[in-house]
Amino acid sequence: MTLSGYRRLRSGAWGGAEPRVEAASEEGADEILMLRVGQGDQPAYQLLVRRHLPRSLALARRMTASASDAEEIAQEAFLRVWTSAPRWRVEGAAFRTWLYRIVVNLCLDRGRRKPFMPLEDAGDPSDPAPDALTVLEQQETARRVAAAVEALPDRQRAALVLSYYEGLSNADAAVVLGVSVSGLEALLVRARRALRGRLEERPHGSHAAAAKESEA
Amino acid sequence: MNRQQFEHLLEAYGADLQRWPAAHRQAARALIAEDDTARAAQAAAARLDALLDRFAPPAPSDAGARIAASLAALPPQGVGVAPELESWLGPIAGWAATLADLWWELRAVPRIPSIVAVLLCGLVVGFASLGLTHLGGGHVDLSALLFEPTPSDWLQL
Repeated sequence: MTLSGYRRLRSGAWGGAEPRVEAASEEGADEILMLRVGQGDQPAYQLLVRRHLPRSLALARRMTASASDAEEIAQEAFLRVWTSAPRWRVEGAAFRTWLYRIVVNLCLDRGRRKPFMPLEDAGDPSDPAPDALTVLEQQETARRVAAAVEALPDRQRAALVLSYYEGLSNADAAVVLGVSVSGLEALLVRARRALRGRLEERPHGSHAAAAKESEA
Repeated sequence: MNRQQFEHLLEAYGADLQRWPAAHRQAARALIAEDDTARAAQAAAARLDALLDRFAPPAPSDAGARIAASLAALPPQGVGVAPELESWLGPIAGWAATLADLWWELRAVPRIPSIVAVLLCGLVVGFASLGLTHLGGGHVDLSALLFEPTPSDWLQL
């Protein structure tokens, strides 16, 4: 089925607005692939996996701070994509938004706090460093940021990861979290205030006050 | 755009206007161009953004391949949660999982909580079964009855 034919079919069947279809590669839009997956098309499913697994895994990694949890969550999310495909309705959220919602819900369901990432797992510094001390400082900063993000309440962390790191629009991030755009912005404001309180250097004695303010 | 609106959006989305809702970018640029306080606030937000950019958890190089390989053998379709139910069944399943974890940690406590946990699990499974279809044919698709043609249409009935 071509994209234009698919759109005519859907518009005629439901008489509503043209369904949202995200453009993708020449293999077809995600929503068209999902229609095929719903008919048991495994190559279409594997294409969706190849296309969206890296970002889903990165999302889960930032949400859970655990490589093993992230892998399990990504696997479970794509299994749900396969088993739910026959009931996929294009009138709903776009595929990527729907997939991210599954991933985020799985992450939130975990509800477990992981210990801070070891220093050696904090990630390589983004800038080439001329000396070992700078490398260590950058790794320590990365570790502090990771710990601060991990310490956020679940939904604030989810809002931040979706909006800042995954680059979702505010509308899409709000759909993933099941909130309004203003609700999303409220989560983001609280998240960033909490992070600023933990990460930015403050004059002696004002750290506690800043952290308390940001968590209000 | 007034300064209060600008600072609210700055606190939500950060210093990079490309992350802002498109409808507000031009007004924000205009305010930044003429208002020193707005520029200072943007610079402060940019410092936080620079710190946030340090958070780049490394992904194991073979994680994607492992997951893709595990997805080569697929279960039957049509079993599990209907997409429309994902949004609210997820939290319910999460609460049930939390209760189950709590019970597991309190195994020394008298067995009454285990009965409660079993009842809760049955409730979750019962809700999840609303999405079951095509189990050997002849089974009614309850999710289809409840939600077809679309959830919005159903609500209009």
